[in-house]
This record gives sequence, C-alpha cells and structure tokens, in this order.
Amino acid sequence: MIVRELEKAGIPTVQVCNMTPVADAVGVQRIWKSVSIKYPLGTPQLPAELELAERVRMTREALKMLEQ
Amino acid sequence: MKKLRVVYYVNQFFGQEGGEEAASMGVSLYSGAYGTAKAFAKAYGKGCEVVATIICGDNCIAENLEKVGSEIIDLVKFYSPDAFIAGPAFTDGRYGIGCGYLCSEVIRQFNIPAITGMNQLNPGVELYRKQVYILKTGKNAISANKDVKRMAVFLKKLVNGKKLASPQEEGYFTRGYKRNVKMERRPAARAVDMVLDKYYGRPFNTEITLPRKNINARPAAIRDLSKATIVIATDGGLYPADNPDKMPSANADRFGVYDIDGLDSLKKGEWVIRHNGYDNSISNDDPNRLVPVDAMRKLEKEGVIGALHNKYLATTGLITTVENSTNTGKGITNYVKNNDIDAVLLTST
Repeated sequence: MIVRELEKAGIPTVQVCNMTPVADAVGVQRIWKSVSIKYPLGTPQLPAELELAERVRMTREALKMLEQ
Repeated sequence: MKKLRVVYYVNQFFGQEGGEEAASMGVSLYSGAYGTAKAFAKAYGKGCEVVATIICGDNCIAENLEKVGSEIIDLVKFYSPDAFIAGPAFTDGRYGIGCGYLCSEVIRQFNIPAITGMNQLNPGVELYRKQVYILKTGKNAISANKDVKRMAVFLKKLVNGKKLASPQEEGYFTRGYKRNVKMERRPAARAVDMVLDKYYGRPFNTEITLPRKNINARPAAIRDLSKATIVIATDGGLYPADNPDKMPSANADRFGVYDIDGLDSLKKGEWVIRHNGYDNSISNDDPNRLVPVDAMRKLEKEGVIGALHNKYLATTGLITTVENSTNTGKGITNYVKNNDIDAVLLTST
C-alpha cells in the first residue's frame, strides 16, 4: 500500500520484494524479485567481498527498472 | 461407512517443528494427523481420517511457490484423498499464500474439496478467495480451536452436498459469485432503507459489493538515472539500535527517517531489526542485506545514480492494516516530494 500511494502521486518506485504475487495484486508497477524474504539483497553464502559485488549488481538491476 | 480421507497441510510452527528459525525447512511428511491436523480430525469426528500431514517452512514455500508447491501436490496425488485442508494461516502472509496456492492447485488438478482459513489481514485472502473457500479466522492461534472446528463443520457440509448459506452466514470470504435469492421486500423499498440508514449514520450492508480495484498508472520512467536522487525505504523494520522513535515490531502506523550521511555501509550492531514476522538474524548480521547502503554508495561513486538521499526511511510492515499502511504511504509520499527526491527503492520482507 506504501508503493501504491507513491505511484498514485506519480513517484517512480521499484519494490524489491519476494512475495511478488502480493505486490502484483496490489497493483505495484515496478517489482524486482528479491533473493529472500529474510534478506532481500543478501547472499550470505558468499564471502563478504563477493556478496557486496553481487548486491551492487542486484541493486543496479532493480534501479534500472526505473528507467523503463 | 467409508471414512473421508483427508490430507492436511501445516507450516513449521503448527507442525511443531519450530518458529522462525525453522521457517526455511523443506517439505516433510507425517503419516496420519499431526499438529493442527489432530485438532481437525477430532473436531470432524468419526467420519474422517487424516491420512497424511504435510509440513513445510513458510519461507521455503513462499519463496519457491511453484516449485515447492508442485512437490507438495505430488505428495497429495500419491494419497488420492477425498479432501485437502490447509492452515488456518491467521494473519501470516507467507503461510496464507502457501495455503491458498496449494488449495487452488488441488481444486484445479484433482477437483476435490479444498479449504483453508485466514484472517482478513492476510494477503492470501485477496489472491485466492475466488478459487478457494477461505474461512474467516481470528488474528492468531488464540482462536485456533474455534477456527479449526468451523473448518471441520464447513468441510462436512461441502462433502455432504449441503446447500451453503451466504458467505456472511457461513463465515467465509466472498468468492465473487452471485446467487438468486427471494427477498420479502422489493428492491425499491430496500434501497430507500439503505439510503435512510446511510443518512442517519446507521450501519447497513450493500447487496452488491463493487470491486475496489483501482490500479495506478505507471509513473513515468526516470530519463537519466545518473542524474537522479534515490531514497532507500524499507518495510523490513530496520532502525538504529536504540530505536529512538520506539517503532513497533508489528502494525506500524508511521515511518522513521534515519541519517546515513557520510556512511559507506551500515555496520552490524548499530542497526537492529524490529519486525516479528521473519527470522531477523541474517539481515541483522549485515543490515545492508535489507537496506543496501553499501551497494548504493558504490553505484553513486560509479555514477550509475546521481545521488543517494542522505536519509533512509523505515517502517514495520507486518499484520499492518490497510489504513495504517496507506497513511504511512501518504507520509512517505510527502517526504519524497518535499526533499527533492526523484525515485524510491523500497525493500520488502
């Protein structure tokens, strides 16, 4: 409902979430499926440096949706 | 008389495997009734036998709905039951989505009765109420006995082919079907009554609920991300360790604004999650997994984005009423408008 209010006001928003059917049912326009409910942009199985690189990649991918 | 063969689905908690720490467990199977299924079998009485109880962790199923779902459906198929019961899931969104999805697939593939129970706050209600009978339940396990009993009574009605009363009387969420009923009074008289009730502020019930779907137009794309200021927001409940705003761990009615000016990363221990709806440990170990300040700073330096707004916004999205989350959304919208922010990255748990 937060994103719904933002989008109603015309503010470009990307929602990084895991339960995408819920966001979709609410009518969210830009949805990026996260890694996990518990850690949306984490990959705890990776060593710290690689995890950061992976998070940069994922965050960039999500943000790119704002340009579409 | 042949007993009704039932397969039952519960999550890790109601399958007595554990709480949030067990929420990522995979599918396991008990022969016979286990956990909630036992209470259901008892409530139904002699005519029913729970042949198997399937247990799966909430995170496991919600994160891989179709894959884990089909694994569970295969197990159901193996038992070829007469009916399938899931939950009740109360307000738990992950559990509700699991229950709703499994029931809808069982109905679609095997054409047998499948029912579940949820509270109106559960997002699973809107997703599955058209395909599945979802009984209305309390908010949490306190009402479990009563709710499970009602599910048993309802299933009995379904399998015995009894005519159902209205969704309100039966206590399930409307499925969007209409049925002709003969009323004592004519429509004109009923409509006038309704207008008078509305005028005098008395309670009244509409006879036809209009769908409240009003999807927004897609906000225009950002032309050039490298010139845009982005703010991070989260509903995952990450706050400074001392929680200065005393943000609640469920049903937040507001959001907090937290300074990250000059920070390249969120340090473990300085930021702590207050959200009772998921296992917080992994994101507490590295708060950037929820609020990706470290990655955003890199993207800022690389010029992918223009700037990261120097504060992030946080609320706790758990069992939050539509009213509260809409108000929080309005507040965040105002904040964004008043702070020269071009776009929002919102992370959800």
